[in-house]
Amino acid sequence: MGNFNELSFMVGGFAGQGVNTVGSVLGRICSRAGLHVFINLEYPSNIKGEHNYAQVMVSEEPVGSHVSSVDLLLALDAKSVVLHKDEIRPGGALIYDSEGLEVSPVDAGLKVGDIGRDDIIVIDMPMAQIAKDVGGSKKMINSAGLGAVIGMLRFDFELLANMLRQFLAKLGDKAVEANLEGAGQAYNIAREKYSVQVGIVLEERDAPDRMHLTGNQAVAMGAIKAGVKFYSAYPMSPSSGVLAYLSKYARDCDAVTILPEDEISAAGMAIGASFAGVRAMTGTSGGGFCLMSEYLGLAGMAEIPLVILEAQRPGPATGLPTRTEQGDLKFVLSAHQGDFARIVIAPGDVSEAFYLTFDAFNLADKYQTPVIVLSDKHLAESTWTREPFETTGMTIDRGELLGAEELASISDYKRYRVTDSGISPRALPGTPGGVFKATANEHNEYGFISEDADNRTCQMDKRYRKTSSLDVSEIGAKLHGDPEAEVTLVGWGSTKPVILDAMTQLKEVHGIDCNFLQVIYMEPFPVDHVTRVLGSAKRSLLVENNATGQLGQLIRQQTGIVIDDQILKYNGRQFIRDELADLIQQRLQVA
Amino acid sequence: MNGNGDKTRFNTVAKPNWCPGCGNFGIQSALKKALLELDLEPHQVVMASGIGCSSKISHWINVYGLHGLHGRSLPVAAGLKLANHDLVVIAEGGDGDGLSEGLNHFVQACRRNIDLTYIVHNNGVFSLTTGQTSATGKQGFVSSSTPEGAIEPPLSPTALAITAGATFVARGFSGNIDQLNDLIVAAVRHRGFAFIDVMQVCVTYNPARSYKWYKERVYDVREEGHDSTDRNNALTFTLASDDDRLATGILYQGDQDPYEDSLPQLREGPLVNRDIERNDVRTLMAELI
Repeated sequence: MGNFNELSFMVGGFAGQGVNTVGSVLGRICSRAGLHVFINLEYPSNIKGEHNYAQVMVSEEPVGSHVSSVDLLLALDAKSVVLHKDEIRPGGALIYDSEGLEVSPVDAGLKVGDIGRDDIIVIDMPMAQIAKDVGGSKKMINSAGLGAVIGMLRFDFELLANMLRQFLAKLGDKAVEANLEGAGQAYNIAREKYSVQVGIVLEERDAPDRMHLTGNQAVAMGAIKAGVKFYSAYPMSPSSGVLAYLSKYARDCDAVTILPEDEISAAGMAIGASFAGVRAMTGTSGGGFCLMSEYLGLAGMAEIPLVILEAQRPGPATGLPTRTEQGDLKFVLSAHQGDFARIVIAPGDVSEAFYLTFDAFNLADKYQTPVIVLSDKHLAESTWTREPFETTGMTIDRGELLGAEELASISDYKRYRVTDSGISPRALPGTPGGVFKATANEHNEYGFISEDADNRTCQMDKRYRKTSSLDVSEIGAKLHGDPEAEVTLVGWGSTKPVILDAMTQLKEVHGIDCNFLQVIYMEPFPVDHVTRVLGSAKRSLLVENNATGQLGQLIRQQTGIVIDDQILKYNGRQFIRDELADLIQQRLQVA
Repeated sequence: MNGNGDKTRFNTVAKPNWCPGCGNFGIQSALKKALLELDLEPHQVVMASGIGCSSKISHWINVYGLHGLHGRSLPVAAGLKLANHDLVVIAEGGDGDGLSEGLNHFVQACRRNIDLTYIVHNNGVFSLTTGQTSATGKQGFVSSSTPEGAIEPPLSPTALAITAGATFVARGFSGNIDQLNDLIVAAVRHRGFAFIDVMQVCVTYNPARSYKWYKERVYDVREEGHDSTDRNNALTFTLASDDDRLATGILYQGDQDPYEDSLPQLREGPLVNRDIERNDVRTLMAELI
């Protein structure tokens, strides 16, 4: 059984072997060759020794999710053979090196033993010997491995050669040549001896240039497009990629990034910078957001724009630091004492991560309140291909800011003036005529502390009134697919790509017609839109990557609609396309 | 009207609600005098303060102010300065605020050396919460939280600042406004993190440490020939301070470059003045192809 321009590839190894690099180099080669790519990365919270794997999905059609079967497994260590050989589909292939196979120190003594799969093609590729012959280090095993994979797929060697030249340039010409030589030897062996038998062929396609990017990169680019000038963050998986990306480009973007003593300080610095007038952002995961929640309320009370990325991982506490979950929805909606207006947006893919992060800055400025962009490990660190984002028409709205001239015409400037919209024009420190106080205490229109009872009610109402003009009825949720479908799947965030792919599979394989209601704005909530869709849905099924169906609870709270049918996964891993399709199909068989 | 000649330009309409006789009044007077001496206009200055009696001072000096969270004036101050380094940024609060709750921010701000002035009103007691022992409270101090006397010894904020890398460390006394004025002027002029520990009288919750008590014990390190560039000697003076003799004045001043000097993106002026419409992500997108 052969595949043409369709591939489910897996590379496994132990932390430190370069599994992620092998996966992303292969993905990028395919992406440059005009194919669509999705990469799911699974790794533990460990730097050296524990098991890692990357699954690279390649297709001529857009692909957003991974499947449970593997066409081709490249095992860089013994454990990868043992753990993943049974995931190889019948007729698929295992590439490993029986002589040079490494064993992680944490698996000392582990033997591959009998592969026990007569229905797959086992390819014993002397990658270690090749690396040695070309005078290379152990790292060159990965180049040989990539050569073997590319050869196996009868793909053009030059695609790999160009990529290695680019990625390894910093190692010098000699190292590049040795890597190319090793890759070439493995390529020839694989292509000549095994590729016909394996029967999976990738071929270059004419296609527009496509980016190969993660959700973290998309968030960071959205922030840069929005003119972010200050990003303060404490490292925490899976948000750290944003700090790395913005730090790399900070000088080019006239921005400052800083890693302070803790997440509290990260939020405080961003608030200080925003108060001074620049667009400022902080980023973290749920644990760090716990610490930031104190400052969240200051931004709410003092009406200081603030954009926060919360890239979720499974909790509570340290939880599963490098895995995925959608467990913080209720937390970000209610974090901090008291009531204040906040905006919570959940992008579902890399494109939405880019555009919604950009929007978050406009919303923060316009409504002078914190805006949380809710991502998760799966969106933050998985890789998808996308055409470059269309940026024409993206306009920056700094909201109501007063300059010196405007302030000169105001005789009695009140920073927290009670207005019909609730939005009070803001002066920036350094501007003559605008001196005012901001405070964490309840305050009067000037910003001075006030404990007056009527003033309290008035200021609370004013702050709440601000976001009432934010109309999310159109943008707050999206219905994907046929509105008349038999089944309405309901979800949010990073499950979007796998739900859409599962819908296609359900239609093609089982003839089941589903649509998908994706909720994007969690606060303010698109009440009418969701009520309308669910009110007319023939059957609704909630799909979430958490233990308690948090979106389901929110929908019930906001609309009164209860979705009893729920598919919940909370083992720290994203849904797999066929797993989700099967779960939905099984659920539908129950009357 | 505020103006350069107007000596009242830092006064606010709102009046402080500190207890009569509170040391905070002296610190407020010294700060206003210092801002006048520095020839500053109200809009050029921002105060970031924490929460507590002393932190309310940002309401009662006519400058831009952010009266934020307990213990956390320094992160806000750092963000303000990095976003607009043309501003004079003064962080202020009490010992409960900055040295109990906010100690990590303080230590890290010392070593980070952003150009800020940090004034701590240090009275050894949480006052706005009606008198509990703080991190600088005397061992044995009897308060509502320590009815049998405080068990822990106090920490020395000046010793901490010197060892943590602050480039300007001084100590003043709320009863000596002229000296405090000079210290604040020097601190604001200093390029880098400038810390002033102000021994502040709390007439309500720590009355034993009265103006008279302090006056009998304070001395200026200059009188003893201290060279403030000598860090080791500064530490010696600091550690020698006890209930018998209390060193005041500029204890240490170094000339290490402030954090901002290592950021080339700040050389063309404050970030807040940059054109944010210019950000083009096409190059960044091309790099991902």
